[in-house]
Amino acid sequence: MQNPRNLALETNSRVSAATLGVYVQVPFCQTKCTYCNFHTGVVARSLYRPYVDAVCREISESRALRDATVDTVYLGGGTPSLLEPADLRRIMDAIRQNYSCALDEVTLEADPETITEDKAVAWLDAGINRVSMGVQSLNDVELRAAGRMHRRDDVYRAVEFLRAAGFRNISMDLIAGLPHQTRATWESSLTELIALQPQHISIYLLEVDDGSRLGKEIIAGGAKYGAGAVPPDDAMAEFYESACATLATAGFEHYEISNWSLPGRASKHNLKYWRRQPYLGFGAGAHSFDGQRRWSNVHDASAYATAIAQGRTAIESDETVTPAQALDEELFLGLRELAGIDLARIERKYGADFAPRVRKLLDDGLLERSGDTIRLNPAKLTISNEAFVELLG
Amino acid sequence: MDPQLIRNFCIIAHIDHGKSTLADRLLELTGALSQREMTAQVLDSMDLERERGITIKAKSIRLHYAARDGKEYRLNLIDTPGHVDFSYEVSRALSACEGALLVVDASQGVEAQTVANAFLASRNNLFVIPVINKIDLPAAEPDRVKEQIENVLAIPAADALLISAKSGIGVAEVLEAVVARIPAPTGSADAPLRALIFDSWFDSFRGAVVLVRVMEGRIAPRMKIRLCAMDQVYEVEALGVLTPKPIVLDELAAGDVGFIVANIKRVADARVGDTIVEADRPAAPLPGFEAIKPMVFAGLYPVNASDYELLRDALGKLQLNDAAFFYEPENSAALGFGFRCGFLGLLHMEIVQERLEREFGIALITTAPSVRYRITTTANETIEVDNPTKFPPPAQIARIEEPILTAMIITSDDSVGAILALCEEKRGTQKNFEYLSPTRVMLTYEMPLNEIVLDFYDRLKSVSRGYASLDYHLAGYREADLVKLDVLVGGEPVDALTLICHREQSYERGRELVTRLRKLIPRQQFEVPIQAAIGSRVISRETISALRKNVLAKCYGGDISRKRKLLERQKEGKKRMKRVGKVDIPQEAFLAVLKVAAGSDSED
Repeated sequence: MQNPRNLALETNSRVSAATLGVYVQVPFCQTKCTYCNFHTGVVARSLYRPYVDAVCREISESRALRDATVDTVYLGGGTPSLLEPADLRRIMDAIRQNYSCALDEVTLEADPETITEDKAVAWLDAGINRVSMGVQSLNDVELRAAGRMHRRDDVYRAVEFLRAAGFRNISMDLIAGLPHQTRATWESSLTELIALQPQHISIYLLEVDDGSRLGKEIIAGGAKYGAGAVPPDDAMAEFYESACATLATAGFEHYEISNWSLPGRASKHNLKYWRRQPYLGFGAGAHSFDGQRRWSNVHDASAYATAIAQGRTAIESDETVTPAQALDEELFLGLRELAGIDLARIERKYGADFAPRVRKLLDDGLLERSGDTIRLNPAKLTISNEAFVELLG
Repeated sequence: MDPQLIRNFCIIAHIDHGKSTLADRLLELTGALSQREMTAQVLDSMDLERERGITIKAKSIRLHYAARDGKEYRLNLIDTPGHVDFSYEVSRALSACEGALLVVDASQGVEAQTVANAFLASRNNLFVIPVINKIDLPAAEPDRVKEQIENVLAIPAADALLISAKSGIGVAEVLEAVVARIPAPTGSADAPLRALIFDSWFDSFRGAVVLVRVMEGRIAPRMKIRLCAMDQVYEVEALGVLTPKPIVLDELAAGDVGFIVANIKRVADARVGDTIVEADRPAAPLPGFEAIKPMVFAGLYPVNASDYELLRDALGKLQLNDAAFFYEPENSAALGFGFRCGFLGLLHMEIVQERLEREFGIALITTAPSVRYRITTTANETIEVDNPTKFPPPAQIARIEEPILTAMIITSDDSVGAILALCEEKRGTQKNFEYLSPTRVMLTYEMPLNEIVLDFYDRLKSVSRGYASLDYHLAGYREADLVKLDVLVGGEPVDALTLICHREQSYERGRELVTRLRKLIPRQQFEVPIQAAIGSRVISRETISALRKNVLAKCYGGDISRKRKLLERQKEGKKRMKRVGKVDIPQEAFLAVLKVAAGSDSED
């Protein structure tokens, strides 16, 4: 069953300056992945509702950017698909009641095993029109080692449920570098993923947090979390590069370091981050940017919920981006898009001649230039930080 | 005072045999300090000395002792540095005394520094009283130790004192023995002044404070004095004794030990071993003065180039108080601006390094220590080179001589095999092999100083499980087939990694060095070859493959600050590295040369 409102939303309206993205953080997980040390918690389900209450209240009491029109929403985590659909709807309602909305893209992050037939229908009904599925791998050995709850079959089942409910915009991700991954298992995961016909694919190189279980094991030694089976950096880079080639053949456009899409299906919400467009974050640890200021909420979910319930602010850090920092951001965020950045525009905007910063990188082959556009060398994406570090003012 | 009632003595011992503890007990027993004023080991006043348990600078303390014969004696206890680096200072302190307490640990027995110190004492004609310490420990074997003292040191030990400085057992007898056995000073107070400088330190208000033993004559305030070695005249401003609190007096006469302040600006102007005479009535200087020469050299560089001025000021301040320390500006292509520094030995170097980091808060990169080579060029000129990068090209070198030490090692017989192998590896030549007892061996080797300056002592301790003791002194220069080993990173020579080694060891050291560097230098955007070369001939090569992964994937809900911080951390990390050509080299890599030059015990 399809909500008529969503049919209208699937047209691609242009993002204008007065538009706004809303991010909602749901910091709950069923289990913790071995490589993750993010501020997410495995908590009793009874804590979900008070948390959602707090998020709704924060939305209703927020005065930031009230004039803008919300066109993208991203319900991220954690695992927001763990919430009851009714709670997700309450969040969506709060956004719609408090902000003028012309919702174009509303994404829910979902773990495959949490997706059911009923939930899929309810999500669509709540106004969600895009699901980003944390697939990570289609190899059960790798999924088990990473501490994931789902298996390969769950992914197939989930896709079926989503399609049956009417979702036409599905993103799936894979992680290159999971313990036990080989060139063969990597390529087979990718081939299967493409066969599932998602509209959008994200590929991440494994980032192991030193404080995570796997991170600690890599440092101290051990075999419980597969530290010894993590592919070397060179292999991860090769996996990524082979994916670049395979996805290009399959018709996917590589538009950002980690993201590929079918034409017109790039994530509008995530592009706002790279393009320094305004977004508001609600929930524990959520980040906001209004064009000048960046602020974020306290990470701890219960501290957040308590603060909001007591009518206090949950903001933990708040900084005004200096012009020099803004210029840095234009470079290290803007260059993440493979289309590159318009050097002339940025030089005009910041009155800065940063040709010297760029020259060495052009010489080293990390950047490419054509006319006023500079972009990352597509052959050096796996070491793009080397360029960004050099570009920091 | 009647010189018959004066006793000048020192305590000599191997490290940790209890010298400082005994000194503390003597101070306590004579009431020089009340119990409350006693901090453990008063004589070791610098923090560093206390932490390391090593006396670095000699001092002297006047004690008043009412002996059992009913007379009041004046005892001057002269402390001596306890490390081989400072053996010249020890010898000068000894020559200020008539007698010495030779402290030997009752369970450890005679060690290398016991032998070296006993030898110095007898060369200075001191009366030696053997004192066997720590007799209350379960492992104490005083009889065996007495036997060793007689056999090894040829010092009669039948009436050796048996004490425990820690618990106070027998310490009163020590004072009696000092009075009864050590001769009173001779030398006439009416003769022209001759005073021996055996220590000096810098006081920011008074300049150099000089510790002297008046051998003959008298010295008093306002007297014009001449320091013979520097040939400078000063007027005595004040003098007195340390009890250990300074007490100002009107006169120091023959036999006395005390301090003099005479508006001497720098300690370098009042050299240890120099003689003070009266300017108007000059006597001949005392024998034995030597200008101390640094033996070990290293480059000290600030980690942050902006600390250069700070480092220069700090070195200047250190030198005010340390005449043996030498420095001059130098610069390195790899490390930037820094200083070439000369030290008496490795301990001295470590002390300077630690004081710079601790007292002045300067982060340092220290290059591998080097020694001073004597090079004869093909033009038949002789030059001395203490920096490997300053070596002339091989074609211009006719011969190279290197400093050689005589090293004495005392160890238990079960580690002899390992020690012989170590000495062999370090190009040592055995001169003597002697059983001190059925289980203890004394080895004498001639060994190049450049093999010892790195980690010889640490490795000696490790192969002997801590038992072997070492003492050494410079024995001269000897020709050797040495080569300069250069290291090229990314095709660029890195001067700070250059080392000098024997030709026969050069292949192995070159290989180890490049292997180690490959592990220490992070991967860069491009492939980086690391080569070891002698002249233009590459003898070893490794390659660091190009960096393949440095990318940030997810943007957690628009958390841009996190991304920025991560990039800033990386940028900071790069800043801490030194860029040579296009390659960023971390500080640890510059230390690798130390470990490699030190020998083949690589950890990996």
